Amino acid sequence: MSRKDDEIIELLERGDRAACVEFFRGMPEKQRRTFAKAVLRWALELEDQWVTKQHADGRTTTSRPPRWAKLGDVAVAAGLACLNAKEIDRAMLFFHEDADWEIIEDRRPPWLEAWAQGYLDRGTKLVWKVMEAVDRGLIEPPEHEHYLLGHIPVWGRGTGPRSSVASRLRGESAFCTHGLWRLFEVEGTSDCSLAGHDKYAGPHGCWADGLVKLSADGALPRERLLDASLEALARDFMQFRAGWFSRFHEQLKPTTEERADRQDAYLHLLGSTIPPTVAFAVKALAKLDKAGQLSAEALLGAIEPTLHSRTKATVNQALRLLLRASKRSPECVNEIAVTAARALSHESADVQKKVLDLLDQLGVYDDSVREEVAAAAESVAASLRNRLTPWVDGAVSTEAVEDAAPGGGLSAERVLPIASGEELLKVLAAVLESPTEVVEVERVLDGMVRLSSEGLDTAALVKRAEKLLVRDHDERDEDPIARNLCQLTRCWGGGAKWKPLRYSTETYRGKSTARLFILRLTEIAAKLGRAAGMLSLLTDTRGWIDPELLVQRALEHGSLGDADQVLALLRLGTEGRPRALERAGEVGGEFGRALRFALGAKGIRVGTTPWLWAAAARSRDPRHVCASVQKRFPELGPGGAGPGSCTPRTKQRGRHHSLSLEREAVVPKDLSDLIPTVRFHQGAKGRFADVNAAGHCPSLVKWSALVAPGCTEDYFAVGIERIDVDWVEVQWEVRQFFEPMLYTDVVLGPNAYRLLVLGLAAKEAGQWGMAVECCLAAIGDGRFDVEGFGAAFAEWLTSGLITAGRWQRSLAEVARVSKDSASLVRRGLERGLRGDAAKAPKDLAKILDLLHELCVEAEARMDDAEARAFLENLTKSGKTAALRKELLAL
Amino acid sequence: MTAHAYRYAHASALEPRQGGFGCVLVGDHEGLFRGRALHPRTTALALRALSQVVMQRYYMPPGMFAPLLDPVVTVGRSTLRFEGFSGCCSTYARLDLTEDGLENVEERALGTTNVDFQGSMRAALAKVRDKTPLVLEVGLHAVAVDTGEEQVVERKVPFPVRWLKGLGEVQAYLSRMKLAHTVGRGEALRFLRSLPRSSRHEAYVEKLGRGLRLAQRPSKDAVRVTGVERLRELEGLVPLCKELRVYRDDFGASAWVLVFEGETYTLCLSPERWRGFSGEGQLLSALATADADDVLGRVRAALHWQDALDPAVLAQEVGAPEESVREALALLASRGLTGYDLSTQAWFHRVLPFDLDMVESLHSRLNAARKLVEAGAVAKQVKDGIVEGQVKSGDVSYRVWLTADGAECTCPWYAKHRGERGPCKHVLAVQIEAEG
Repeated sequence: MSRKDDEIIELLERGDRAACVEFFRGMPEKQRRTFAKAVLRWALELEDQWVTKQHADGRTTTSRPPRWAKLGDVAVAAGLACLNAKEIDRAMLFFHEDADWEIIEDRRPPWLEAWAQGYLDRGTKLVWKVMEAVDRGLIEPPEHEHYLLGHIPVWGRGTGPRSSVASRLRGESAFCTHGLWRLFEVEGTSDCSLAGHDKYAGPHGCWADGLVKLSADGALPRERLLDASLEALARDFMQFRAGWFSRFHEQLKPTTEERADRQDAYLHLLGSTIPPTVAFAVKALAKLDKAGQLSAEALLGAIEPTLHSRTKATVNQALRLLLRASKRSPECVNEIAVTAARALSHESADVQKKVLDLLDQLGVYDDSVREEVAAAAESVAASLRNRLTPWVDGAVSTEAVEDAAPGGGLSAERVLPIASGEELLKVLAAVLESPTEVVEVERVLDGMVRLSSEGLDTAALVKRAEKLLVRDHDERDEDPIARNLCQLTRCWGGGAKWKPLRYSTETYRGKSTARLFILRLTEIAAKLGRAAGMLSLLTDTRGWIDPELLVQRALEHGSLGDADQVLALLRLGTEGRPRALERAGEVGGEFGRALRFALGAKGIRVGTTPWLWAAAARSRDPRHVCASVQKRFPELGPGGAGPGSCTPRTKQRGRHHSLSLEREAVVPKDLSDLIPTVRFHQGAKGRFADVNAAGHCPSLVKWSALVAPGCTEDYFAVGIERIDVDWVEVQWEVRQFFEPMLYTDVVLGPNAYRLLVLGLAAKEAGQWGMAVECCLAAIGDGRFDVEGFGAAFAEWLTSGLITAGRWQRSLAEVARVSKDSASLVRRGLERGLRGDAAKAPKDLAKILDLLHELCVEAEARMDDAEARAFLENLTKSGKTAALRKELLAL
Repeated sequence: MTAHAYRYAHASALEPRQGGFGCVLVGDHEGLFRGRALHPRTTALALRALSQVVMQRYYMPPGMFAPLLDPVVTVGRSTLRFEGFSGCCSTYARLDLTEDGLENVEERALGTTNVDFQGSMRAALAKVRDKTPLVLEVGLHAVAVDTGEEQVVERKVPFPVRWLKGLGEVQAYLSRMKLAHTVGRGEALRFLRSLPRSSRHEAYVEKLGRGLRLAQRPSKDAVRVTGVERLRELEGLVPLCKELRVYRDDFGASAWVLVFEGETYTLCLSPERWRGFSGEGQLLSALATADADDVLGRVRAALHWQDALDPAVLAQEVGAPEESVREALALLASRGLTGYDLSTQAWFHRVLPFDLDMVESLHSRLNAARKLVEAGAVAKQVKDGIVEGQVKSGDVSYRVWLTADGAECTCPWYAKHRGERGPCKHVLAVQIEAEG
């Protein structure tokens, strides 16, 4: 270190900012730079020392003790006096005080322009610093877009008339002649735009209000503001940001003459790709049209893109413009009819009706119109097809596939045990990465029990499992299957001691089937590689175990423990039970008796272990209560000795409705983890409303479906209480609750239909999409029951939970697949129109519209007396009343 | 993001000129193309849609921001192509303008450049309507759009390396794709409007009647799609198209081609929203063993900026089996030398103006595999036609099997992707070792 360096360091260490400033005052730039190296090193060391001290003290704070604060001030002063922009950034020297700026003013460093550019390149958040530099005459105003945008929040902070946007702009004539108009040319960013600012600005900080005020005062040219806002809209900024310009334009309240002068600009905007901009232009043109100042020829040249708009109101408005144009310019009628006919392909029946109304009024039947109508005829709603006759020869076929039938449900596939250590290594590696493959998880567990890791190279798998376990902020935190599988892999492959990893969020998520899974893993861990097999390894992908195979396993190697026995009984398949029973007599002990009981044997005395007999009872007859087990264990709770019956209850909380199921029996507080069918009924009465017996991760929800494949109604009850149709809470796992419904052997009971019909009204695409698939699968393999569907539909119709528009969307999707599905949806809807008509959803018209279309398509009338009574009791007006009338008149 | 320094501007070529041929040498002229779009609104909307894709990031890994990236422009013998990726590289968009989509072509040289489509360019394109003259001008260092009222020039910018890798991978996907569905304009519009705003689950697009349906389970001929919101960029273009063609790939990628008069717009979606094309490794096996391939060199020598390369003809020309020529064309795509056009079902030649020899060094898996081989970490033996390998990587060993049906490894990468994202470094190492 040179003497010069020692000198400056000594000065800095004194902590005297004034002395430091004085030292550099008036010093030439070249001389200042000679101190840069020493100052930078000192500033960096100072920061390091501060961080180390904080670590040592075990706390982090932004306010520094006086001595540190003094040294920090000196570092800033010295840094600004001799460092360059990059070095200032590196040393993290923040400056904003007047005294700091005075140092820069004294120095006038050559890098200021580049420094400003660097700040602006990073965004708009630090623009105020650049503005300060401009205000102090240190740099010229940059041309950077962000510099311009930075004015929006800085000048829009006003809280009173004196600091309002209008006042600020009045004092900035230079900005008003150039910068202000550039603001109409740049889109802005997610951090900074006129739309974003004005959305949250107070009355004095609002730019739109400020500009309107200045225009009214004559301080800004009104004509230019009107033009600039339209030009901005022509740039197709993103929807949210474009909205500011259309609102601002209307806030200026243009007169008819002003609008007329800008007719071409409005017409140009009809071709915008931003729907609200198109809607704005159509409305502006409608005002001109009303004043009789819109040219039909000009309109025809520009209106076509509007007719393809997704927004019904915009298309309808455009059709009205065409109608008025036809009256004003009869010579254009043919062209108007051809243009209007193109809107027939719109997906909304309302729009199609308006198009046909217009065509009827125009009365043009020449070839060009016929051609356009014919091209769109097949997509016209069934209720309107008879109106196509003047333009289309012959009947118009339906859009649905006449001969196609929905695909039907899934059949369970055979599951084979893992055959070798090599195969186990491969499958285990795969399930560690994809724990949602729960059938593969089951195979792996069986493999680990039977196959020793000796002689196998398991180092890679153990390493991977350990890595996955230490991962933070992962979905695995909530996935007991993934976490415990990793733990078991460490035991099997690495000889670690088994220590179950509890469901980390159980304290607030409530108890779930994860506990049963962990109990089972504990049993497996005790016999890794040493047992002949598990009793409970499923034999098909639905979760069933072949009864004969189960008896054989029981005779050959017995069980691993209670959890293994319970799961084996709950998974007992329904086919081949009599043959299995013949051999089951040889299975000894209480489990043997429970197994024979489950297989349908008569005269078996119920034993003393509640979970064993609960599982046997549910397996024997999942749909009825087993009297003997119920008598022996009266406190088992719902779902213990028979299916848990439940009734939905909804409660209004503000704007939202909450749903719960009311059970006849009470779930015991000390419920054993070995009785999962009762756990399914624990309900959502935990500390928080999102308690869920099947867990909160897709893998556990999927695994829960394999726990008791016969007790699907109990499982679906969990889904009903978990699903949030409005998607207030993100719940990706709920979709899995629908999956069992896809299987052909699953009988859809009341809870299945309740969940299905709720799913059809879900907001999230994955949920309603799965519900549609389940409907189609059930229709395809003949499981769909109109009565069951209708009953669930009626239950939810007046519950306050449902948005009918979502039902219309998903049921229309089901109906369009085949004639069969259309017919079943129609009958299901008819059967579902029950209950108190006064409690029907506000948008009931949407579902009535679908029903009407389906009735017309099938040339059927509503025969259901209760549905007719429901319609007759409807007191709604408008479209609902019209549809009610049409439906009753069919 | 690392920028790539370009090596040469465009290919030297013999071009037909008055009274014979003229030799166009590298650096001969700055301008590559000047011509007018025959369907200005369609072209402008398509270019805007492309720039929209380029500005998007459909998947945001933690700690990443969304940079604006820049379309690549290629002038071929009869085509003008604009292509680009979304910020996350999961979506590839390309506009192919053929001679039927252009008029008054005053200038056409062969070459490639890339520019940033900034706000002013997008605003100028937004103002284009059916009757607006739209003149496109492509130079080695800039692209200009002249709409009569305004002229916007965008300058050449540094080329993102991720794109270079992605451009190769996406061509490999495109060349394997099969046409699954074709629907008309009305049905296409209905389908796109029925799509959810976002979806995390995979879905399957199947034909229903004359239209399309988004199903939740796979069926025969259904096209698997994830991140369906990526398709929304097509909605604004559909009212102007003739038809929509949907192509699928066995590994879950799909391509959506809008056919217009004289132009096509292709949107290719990666198998998962979080999987950028640049991270795929479809060509890695071929790259790993390419050095020994003599056909590759001969095919490369036969490329002269053809807009449609017929592998059968090329096979005769270079005296190699057709299958080898196809493989060589795919491999050349990874080096930025070929692309695949779904609408013509043909490879085309183009030269990305960058140091293409560096491309292979960008593949980290391949580099890692070569390091393993160099370190002697690979042991192999052949049993019954199956190559069994043992690769020591760090403190653990992985086992690799190379069979006629494919390759398997015991590493987590393979367990997670089952070979769908290309081979892992262990498989590549054994392949390199097996090639000797």
